Amino acid sequence: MTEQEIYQRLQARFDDSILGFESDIPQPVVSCTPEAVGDIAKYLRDDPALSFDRLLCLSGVDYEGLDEKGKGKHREINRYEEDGTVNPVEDPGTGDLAVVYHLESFKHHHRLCLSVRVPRETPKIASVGHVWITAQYGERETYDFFGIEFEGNPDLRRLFLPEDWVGWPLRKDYEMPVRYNDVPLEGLGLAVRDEQ
Amino acid sequence: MSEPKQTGPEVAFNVVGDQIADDREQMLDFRIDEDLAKVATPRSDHVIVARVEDLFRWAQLSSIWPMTFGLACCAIEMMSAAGTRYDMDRFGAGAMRGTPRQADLMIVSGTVTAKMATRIKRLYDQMPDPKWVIAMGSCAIGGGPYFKYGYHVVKGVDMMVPVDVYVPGCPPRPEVLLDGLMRLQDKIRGKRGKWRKPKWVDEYINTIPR
Repeated sequence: MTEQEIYQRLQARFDDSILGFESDIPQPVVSCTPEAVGDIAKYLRDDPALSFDRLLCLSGVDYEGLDEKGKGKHREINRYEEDGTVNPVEDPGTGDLAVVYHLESFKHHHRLCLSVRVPRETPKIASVGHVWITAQYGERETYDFFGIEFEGNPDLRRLFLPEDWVGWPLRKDYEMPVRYNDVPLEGLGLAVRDEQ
Repeated sequence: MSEPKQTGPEVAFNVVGDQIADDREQMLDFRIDEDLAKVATPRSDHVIVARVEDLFRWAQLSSIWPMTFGLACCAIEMMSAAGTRYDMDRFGAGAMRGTPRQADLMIVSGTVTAKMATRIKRLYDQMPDPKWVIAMGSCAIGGGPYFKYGYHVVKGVDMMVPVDVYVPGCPPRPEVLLDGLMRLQDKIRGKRGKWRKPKWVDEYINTIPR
């Protein structure tokens, strides 16, 4: 089944929840509303004609600087300067965040990319951890780096960063930390400093 | 059927013993100091006179016990250096210990993340004195490729623990680590020296586009 047919089938089933279909890119994308993700995921897995039995990848995107259609200029991410100092971030971002699901069917050998945009102020989305077990870790990772909350995930904690870490590092408006508890994160190493 | 003629163990022993006697001159390179070299001979009934401090240093540098402690890709090179091909044990540093309480060298081999830095500090504090630290690779020296965008990387492990020897490379080959080990042995032996930066280094750095 091609992506176009999958999109039509989804649209027939979830009329208003399916927001759009972008087909002029190498991996066509179906987008939907965050409320309907749980139902759509269950349908994608259980429908015999679709049977997406594998979640390849669950990732997050920050659309800061881009408009509704994904057009525009990416905002430059913050960084440490050459002398090791940090510039404060003046304007917080306003663009949407998104969760992207890459699905695959072992049975029919077709793939689908599902994209869900969530507002930056209240980034909440239904968990699909009960549909694909793999998603529970992907959701923890996405929560770790983007701060998107997956409602229904049984164990939504930080995965890679320490649990008392502040902020969501992969957001475009993330301010580089000066220190983490007793650990200095800015500045040059002492060897470099001695040499100068 | 007659038994095959076997060479006795003492024959093999003698061969090895002769070779040791022949190599004795070269082994003196591994000496404590110049004065000691004058009195040290292969004879066992001679008396060696040395300062206790020098003797202790010689013992320390001849049996550095590193901690089994790898952080990233540099650890692969460190394992290679400890393996059969490069054999760090030749220099007395092959006894990798699984606990910091038995180790006296910490080879920080890899990226020091903020999460790991607190553990590194704790492991260093658990090591008994005297103890040494080798910062291996660009990341451990100064953040390396994570310097600009690494929100989670400590820009040099010397911000956390004192470092004795810096081993550059990304990752350094095992030969470089072995060289760093020998520079550490020099340091323990009491040799002091400052590495002078060649002129071409700055000239080369200025040609790199930023």
